[in-house]
Amino acid sequence: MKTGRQGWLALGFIGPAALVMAAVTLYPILYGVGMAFTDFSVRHLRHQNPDFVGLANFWAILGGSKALGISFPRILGFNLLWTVVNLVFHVSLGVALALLLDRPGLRGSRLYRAALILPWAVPTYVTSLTWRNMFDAQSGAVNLLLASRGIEGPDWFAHFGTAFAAVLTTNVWLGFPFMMMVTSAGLKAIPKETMEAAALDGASAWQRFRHVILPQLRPTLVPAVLMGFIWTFNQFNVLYFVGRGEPLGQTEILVTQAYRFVDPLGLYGTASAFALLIFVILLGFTLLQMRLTRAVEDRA
Amino acid sequence: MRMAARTLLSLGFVSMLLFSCQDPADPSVLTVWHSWGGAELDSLRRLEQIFKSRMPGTRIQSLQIPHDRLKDKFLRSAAANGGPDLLIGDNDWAATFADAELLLPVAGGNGDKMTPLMAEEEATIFPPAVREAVSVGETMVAWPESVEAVALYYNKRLVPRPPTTTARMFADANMVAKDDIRGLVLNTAFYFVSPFFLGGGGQVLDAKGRPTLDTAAGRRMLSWVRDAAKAPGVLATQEYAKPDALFKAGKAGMIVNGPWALADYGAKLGKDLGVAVLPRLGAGRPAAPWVGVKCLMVNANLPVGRRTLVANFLRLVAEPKIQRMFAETAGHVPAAKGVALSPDSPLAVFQRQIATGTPKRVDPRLGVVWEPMDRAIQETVVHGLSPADALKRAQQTIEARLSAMTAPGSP
Amino acid sequence: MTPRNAGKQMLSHVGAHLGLVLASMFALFPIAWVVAMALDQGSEAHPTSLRLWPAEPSAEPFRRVLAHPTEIEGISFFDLAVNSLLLAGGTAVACIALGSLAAYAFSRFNFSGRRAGLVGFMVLQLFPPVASMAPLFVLLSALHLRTSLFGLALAYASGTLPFAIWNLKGTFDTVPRELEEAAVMDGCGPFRTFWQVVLPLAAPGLAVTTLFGFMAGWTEIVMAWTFLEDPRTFTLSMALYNMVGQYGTTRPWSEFAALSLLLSFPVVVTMLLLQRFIVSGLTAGSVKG
Repeated sequence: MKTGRQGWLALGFIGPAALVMAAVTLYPILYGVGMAFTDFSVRHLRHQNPDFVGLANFWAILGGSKALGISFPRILGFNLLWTVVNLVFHVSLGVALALLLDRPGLRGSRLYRAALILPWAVPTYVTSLTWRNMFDAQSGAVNLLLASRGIEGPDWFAHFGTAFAAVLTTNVWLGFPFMMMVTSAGLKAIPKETMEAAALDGASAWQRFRHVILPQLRPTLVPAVLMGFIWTFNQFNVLYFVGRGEPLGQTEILVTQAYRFVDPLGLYGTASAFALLIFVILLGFTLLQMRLTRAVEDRA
Repeated sequence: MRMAARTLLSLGFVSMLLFSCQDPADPSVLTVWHSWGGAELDSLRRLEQIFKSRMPGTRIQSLQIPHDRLKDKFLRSAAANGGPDLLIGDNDWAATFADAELLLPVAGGNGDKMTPLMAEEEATIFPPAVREAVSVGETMVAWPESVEAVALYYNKRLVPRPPTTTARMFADANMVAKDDIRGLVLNTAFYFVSPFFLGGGGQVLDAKGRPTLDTAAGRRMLSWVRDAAKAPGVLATQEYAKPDALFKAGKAGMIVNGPWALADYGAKLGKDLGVAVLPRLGAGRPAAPWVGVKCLMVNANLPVGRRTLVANFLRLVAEPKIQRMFAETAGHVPAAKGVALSPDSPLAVFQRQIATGTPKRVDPRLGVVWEPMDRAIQETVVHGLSPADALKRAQQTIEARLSAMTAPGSP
Repeated sequence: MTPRNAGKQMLSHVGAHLGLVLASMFALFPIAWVVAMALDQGSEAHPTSLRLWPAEPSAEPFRRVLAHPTEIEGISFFDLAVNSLLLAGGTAVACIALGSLAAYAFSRFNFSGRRAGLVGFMVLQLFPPVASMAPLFVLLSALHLRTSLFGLALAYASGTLPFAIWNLKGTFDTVPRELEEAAVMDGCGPFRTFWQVVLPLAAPGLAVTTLFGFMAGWTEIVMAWTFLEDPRTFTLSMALYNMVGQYGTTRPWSEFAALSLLLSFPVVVTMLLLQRFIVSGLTAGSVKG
């Protein structure tokens, strides 16, 4: 087949998706990018007639304008801390549980698997509201549980440390099943002979994991971690409905902060500039990660 | 290509099935958006029944929208030439909406681009102060339904007599508190504690519109809230739902809340429910809550064919009979003149409270104040910042936001 | 196996069980709490003691939610469920129909701009929707699609398509080319080959992608509450949000819990049924990345 004919065929196949995405994804995004350079606010919603302000929105965000009342580096720092700590828990918990479930001859593994997949299946809005209430200082299930053990639970969202622990717990609960499923899938792809050979060689469990299982899991795990990075970095529901930025905006991440510029502040231009910054940051991280993983793969 | 064409065709077909087209200019259907539930919703339904019986052949499509989505939803829909005919909301929303040219003036001031819905004389059914609270300049941008201000609710089983001073209030709260019973559940959002700021000589904006929060009165209020939160019998939080639920469950002696909660509290507590004017501040000055107006706002996109229908609906809302109905079933303090309430009814207490209050005007500048002040309160109460430092930051933020508002083009 | 080995294995299984039981408790605790609330018709917003089994269990909250899911008149639970199904199903169908075609082209054809296109689809996913929602709102309003379930499904699909394309491309990559070549030899055109040979072999990946699209449409609330206006198009998840939106304190928690469970039930069951597919579907999507 010649490339020309393939090109036309490909166009036929990709066309519908490209058309829809161009209209409902690309166009609004480009429009949003344009808004980032204007003073678009509530009063421009009707006539869409904001004034061009150049980079003013970006200076206001990055320069810590008093009117916005935020510190961009602080939010970005928290956003990264949030993402990395979550991923560490997601991956380690997910891999560990998948390994336990994968043991030959383990009874009840189907039952365990069903129980462990549940957090993933429940809609995140329900999850978020439930956890928010579970961490309620007076009547939340967590503090009531602690009280029954004679421990006085803290007011979770009053201080950064405990608030972070609360949102983290929620998101670990939400995120580990995905990594567990991915790892399970990866484990299935490892040939039995490889494992048996390693066992016969007298390798310890840790050595087998480190030198046999982990390298084989890498091709499955790396894309999942990349995807997980983006999802966690932009985890709106948990931080908006559980953390609510408390205390004092300290658990705000970039996307929730951008949303607050829209509602209640009505600063659409600022929010767009913020979104553009998030996009650039994410793009940078993704490219970096891809380069790093490729470097690792090349060496391996 | 046939496959793709078929896919697109079938998608188009589904879209036709799902997209039911309604004639936007149908003169007999009135759409209303609101966030009322409970007793307020029951009253709205009765109002709709009465309207339909008066104007046979008309239909009202009222839509309950979650309160935290309502303002944003109206903004976006109305700006995109959609939205309901009428929106029921707070008068301070009208400031944002009017600024975005989304409201049809209800009466008065004809200098604008749009002809008001009604003649100015019709609006004289409301007292001047109420009219002023929904006006921008000479133009009335919303139609009042009821007047609101917070007062003190108490559970007679726990607190037999309402305290008359704030010092007594805390003493009572500490006495009542036991096990899972709280003496006072206090919402520490600025709106709910500002009676003790405004009554104590405080002011939010001066005559020139500059913020005046970083003042002695502001610092007094913050120390007051901080001490209140420390009192053992007090539960202080900025969440609305929690104090509300505790009081309803009979697990709180007192709560500061508005008349909108009256019917629901009455239903839960029955004879045990008491309402009193807020306790006085130490030196005998009365507390001065914000006086807001619950109002109906008319969408600027209202088709000409439905103007009469909407005007008739607004007239009905202001009629004494309906105002009384809302007072009796929903606990709303009437906005219109000519509705006498019996002096010992809880609503009369709210009326007395309103008399000592501070009007909350349709002023977009006021909208800038809440969030930084809520934060300042949180900083002092929970995080141990000094009232002076917290207020200084709040004042700076508010100043910066106000100057951003007046100078478009620089956020 | 020697007895000593069996004993060792038993011992290590005990450890495994311990770990798994602990993890399962962590996973099930919040769900058990919601179930307990849903069965406790007296439950108010703020319980004061922890009970994982209500004192007087009753199905009353479920009955009330089924009979009266929202305060909006004339909308039954059935209507809401049908709308939810249409919306979620529409999102899933759009996702699969558009996504599988595009993914197949990316997987099989060699054309200029292939790499750029693939990267382009992925890069779009990195842009947070907060900025594009206002223009999308205006665009769909102008097309008179904004207040319809179709418009909303389109908006959701545009968000889930990148994942769908990526995942399905991975699946197609694992389908052996020899089968297609044989089909082409037999005189099948490219679309027929795709439809009759490749799609059936990609079932696991298709199942996962469908499920993801369906879940996106089934659970989303913020966009739904921003876009839709006609109660006849409202969905179950919107009804759920309506129960607790900021000041929604008029309905007891038991009803929120009951509706949460009713809403989660179909998704959870599908997920458990498709478990096997999800595992293989996810590997297919990621093995070749």
